Amino acid sequence: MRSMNRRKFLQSSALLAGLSGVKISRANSLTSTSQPIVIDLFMRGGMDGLNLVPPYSNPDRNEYEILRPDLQVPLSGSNQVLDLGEAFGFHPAATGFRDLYVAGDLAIIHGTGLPKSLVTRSHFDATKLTELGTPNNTLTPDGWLTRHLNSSPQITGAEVIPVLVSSGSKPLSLHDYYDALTVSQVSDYHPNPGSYEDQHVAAISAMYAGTSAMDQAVHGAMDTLQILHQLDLDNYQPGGGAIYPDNSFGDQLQLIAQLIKEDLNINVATAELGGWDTHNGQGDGGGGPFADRVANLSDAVTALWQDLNGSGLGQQVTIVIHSEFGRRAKQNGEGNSGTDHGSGNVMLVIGGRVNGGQMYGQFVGLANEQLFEGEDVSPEVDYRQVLGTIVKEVLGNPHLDQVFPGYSNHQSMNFVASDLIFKSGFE
Amino acid sequence: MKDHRQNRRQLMTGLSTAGLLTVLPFTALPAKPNKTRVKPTKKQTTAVKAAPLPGQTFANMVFNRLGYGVTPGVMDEAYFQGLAATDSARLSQFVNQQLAGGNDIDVDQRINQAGTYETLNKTLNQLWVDYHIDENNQNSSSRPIYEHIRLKFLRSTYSLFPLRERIAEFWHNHFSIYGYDYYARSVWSSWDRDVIRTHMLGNFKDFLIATARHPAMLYYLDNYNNSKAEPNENYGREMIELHTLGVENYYGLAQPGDVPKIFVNESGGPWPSDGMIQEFYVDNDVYETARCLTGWRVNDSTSSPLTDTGEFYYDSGRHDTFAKSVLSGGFQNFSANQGETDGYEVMEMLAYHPGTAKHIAGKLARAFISDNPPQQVIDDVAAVFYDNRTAPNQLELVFQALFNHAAFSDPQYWQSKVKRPFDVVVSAMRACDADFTIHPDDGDSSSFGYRMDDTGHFPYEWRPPDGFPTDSVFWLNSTALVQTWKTVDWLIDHDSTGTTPDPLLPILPYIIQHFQGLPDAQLLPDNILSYWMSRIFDQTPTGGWAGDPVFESIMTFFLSRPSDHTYPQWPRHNYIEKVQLFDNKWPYYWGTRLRGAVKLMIASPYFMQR
Repeated sequence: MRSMNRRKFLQSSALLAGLSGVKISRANSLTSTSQPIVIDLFMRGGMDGLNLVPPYSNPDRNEYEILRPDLQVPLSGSNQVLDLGEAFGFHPAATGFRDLYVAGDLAIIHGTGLPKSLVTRSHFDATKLTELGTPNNTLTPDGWLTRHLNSSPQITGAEVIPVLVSSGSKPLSLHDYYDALTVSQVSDYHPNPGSYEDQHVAAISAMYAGTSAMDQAVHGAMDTLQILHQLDLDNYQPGGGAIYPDNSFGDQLQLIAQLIKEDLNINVATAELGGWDTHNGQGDGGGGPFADRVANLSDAVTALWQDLNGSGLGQQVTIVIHSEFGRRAKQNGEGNSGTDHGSGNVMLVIGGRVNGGQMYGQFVGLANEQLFEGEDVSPEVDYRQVLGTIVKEVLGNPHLDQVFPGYSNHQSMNFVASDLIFKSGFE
Repeated sequence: MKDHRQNRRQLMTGLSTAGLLTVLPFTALPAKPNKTRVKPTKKQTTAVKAAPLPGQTFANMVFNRLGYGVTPGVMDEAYFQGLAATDSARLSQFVNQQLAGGNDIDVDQRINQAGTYETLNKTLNQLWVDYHIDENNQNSSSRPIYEHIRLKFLRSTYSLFPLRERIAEFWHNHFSIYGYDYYARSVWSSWDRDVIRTHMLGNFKDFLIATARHPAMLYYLDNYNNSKAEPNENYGREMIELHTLGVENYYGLAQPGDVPKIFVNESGGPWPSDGMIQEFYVDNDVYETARCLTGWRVNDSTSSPLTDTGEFYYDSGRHDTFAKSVLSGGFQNFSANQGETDGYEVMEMLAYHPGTAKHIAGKLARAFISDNPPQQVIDDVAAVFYDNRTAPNQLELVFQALFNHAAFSDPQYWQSKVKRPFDVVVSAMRACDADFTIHPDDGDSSSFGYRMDDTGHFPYEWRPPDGFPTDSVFWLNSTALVQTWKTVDWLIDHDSTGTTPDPLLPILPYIIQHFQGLPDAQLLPDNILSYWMSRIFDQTPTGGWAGDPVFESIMTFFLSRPSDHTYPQWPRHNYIEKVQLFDNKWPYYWGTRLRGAVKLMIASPYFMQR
């Protein structure tokens, strides 16, 4: 079935080559579709990791209840913490994550964030520093994923759609990368559908034959549009019995799964979910808007994993979930209040190669002297160490000095097993 | 309950010790512990500009940057030439007329004719009562924002003063609020009219105060819930980071006492007697600003003395009465027990700070001139902003300085920004003389809205407070491009065929009109396409359009082989019979091809850049 699709593409490649003249010189020596895929899910607004993965046992539980008298996720009642048999549990709305954890597919990494001297609690700065992959520079001209795509020996340049952004706009992690397909919906994705649609696209490509960023962007859009146009994307049946939640985030993740399974050699996919900036009315007793958001996240990502894993892609796919910072340990008011910006946070990693069902990183504690600046969960693990582990050990790209300039002495964490098949790529 | 403020202060005083530094794997830290951001290196991106419109006229540049493009017959070359004797004098005249505003006949007529705009003139209190309280559940709480999203299209397309629309757009973006915010959406008509449009050419300090007192802002950034018992610093932070000084003036993790100082010629109130204030801000200033704004809330309940009017309400019981220090290097420049004055004084400090002038001047230059404007124009505009900080017409002077600056007229910056989706669609409607009054409760307006929404650039729908990006690179993504062109595609095709066509954009009708009295032999492909090229770009190159690369690409499209291959490719030198063109007949479907050609003109780099 897969090779049938590829033949179709190569045939149509000839047509496309005639039309657009650029980029469709796809080598047909592309190796099998076992290229690793990373799906980067960014939680915008500063996701409250302390309530997503709340402390279950003392002494952290004790301190937690003092810091968050109203906002704590309780240990009993209908909104109780999901027990993992560990010092931390999951928010009750994250039943999907709990199941993935228990199945060994999901790992939790505690205490991640920016290096301490570079911590910032401004959304815009923290987002830039994280997504550009340079914690000391908000003006870096490219994102970390861009540099990964440009330096990875596993990526040949012959991919049909190397990067997929499932949302209206490209994230900063892909800054200065112009080959991404950004699409939030695929149906009718054409500027002039009808009898002259191919000639129309050809004309646009001809008008943008230069080398400027705009030319590249338009060309890229036309190329991928043509490809999408040929896919049969209606009546999609998710694998593994997955049921995506019927909302925008669910749609975005379903689109990612759909396109990954279309054998387009996608290496990187990104999506984002906002609404985490819970300064106010976060939700007492484990409920409220935060709980809804957690449910949204957990249900959609679980469906995504079930779909891809159930379709045989489990070993290839790694999903990473992170945010620009966590939130303050102490709630900012009394009833119905929220939390202000913090720093240290959890990261979640899901995949067939992940040594899941365990917690990694470092959780220093919630006593006042253990909190970073007396306010936040302490960021002990440079987030680049987590992403670097994925880039090197899972994606097979050893050039961490290029992906994260200024970052050195990397030690891969052991939440993934290092892959022996990439040894040859290190020569 | 632990007083975390005290702890934080203790830690802040301990900041300069080495305890903060972890074992960092890299050595990029400079000697100074603060300002750890690396100095920006030259950006090495490829140029953004695709092929620019050759021979773009000065007028064309002005209309694209200071308006929504050419409107043939109304805002075009002839009109611009008539304003004065030289381009710089014409520009100056144009700016003055636009800023002055006046009777916006077409806009008013269309609003009246539509008959479905009901919220525009209601007072803040009326809006609150009708759409927020809505006792009898008669209305939709988002009616005001719904109307204003549509009104934005109407005004931008038909206003005789498009520069005022652009300026309103700039400030809406600067003080960005998510339009569908639970509270803001019910009072949007007041936010747009009483805050943005009232102050957009006035005094910045007054503007800032007006934003801080409006329920839309007070709710959106949570200040309505900012009290001494439960301080909420969301608004205080964004007021500094976004609305005034900007992140560019953040010093880093440091104590106020470590920040270099500058001299300002201010006295009284919060101003230190020696005139020395911090050049930059630190986290402590954010926190103290939030304290100044405690108690600034909305009259949104009926528990006495509140009366649920939806208007600004200062709640002394919630105000933090202790002394405060903002931008003063750490000593307390805000005395205790000043009440509401704390808020006004902190806004004065921020509005009058030279860093604010620079921050806003930078935003203006990037919005109106280029993504990378020369530092000179930013400095010059910042100087005008700062020098006139107490003037009632400060912002009018700032805009005049910006548009009359040499950098604005410098051709190297023309067409260097990509038009954002809203710009493309509105300027397409103007260039093609659309007759489409977008209004509430209208099916076509809704169809238009769905498509426009997909571009990611729907008015007031940006969720975080930093507003829609103005940088071109952000908008160079497949979704924005394709969905924008899809919207234009819908506009041009809608109701354009059938037995009684009634197109929104008169593509074919104008061709019919133009060639009516002329012999059939004139209906050559070159003449047909040239007509619309000259209309849309408001110029005709000497020697005609033939040979121009964009024109030729479109001609190739126009003459492409029909799907029924028994018919040949149409020879370029053959004229087309009128009835074939006007009736859109098989096998060539000239009407469809013509509309496709105009869509391509709009999609071309000549149109997409400003």
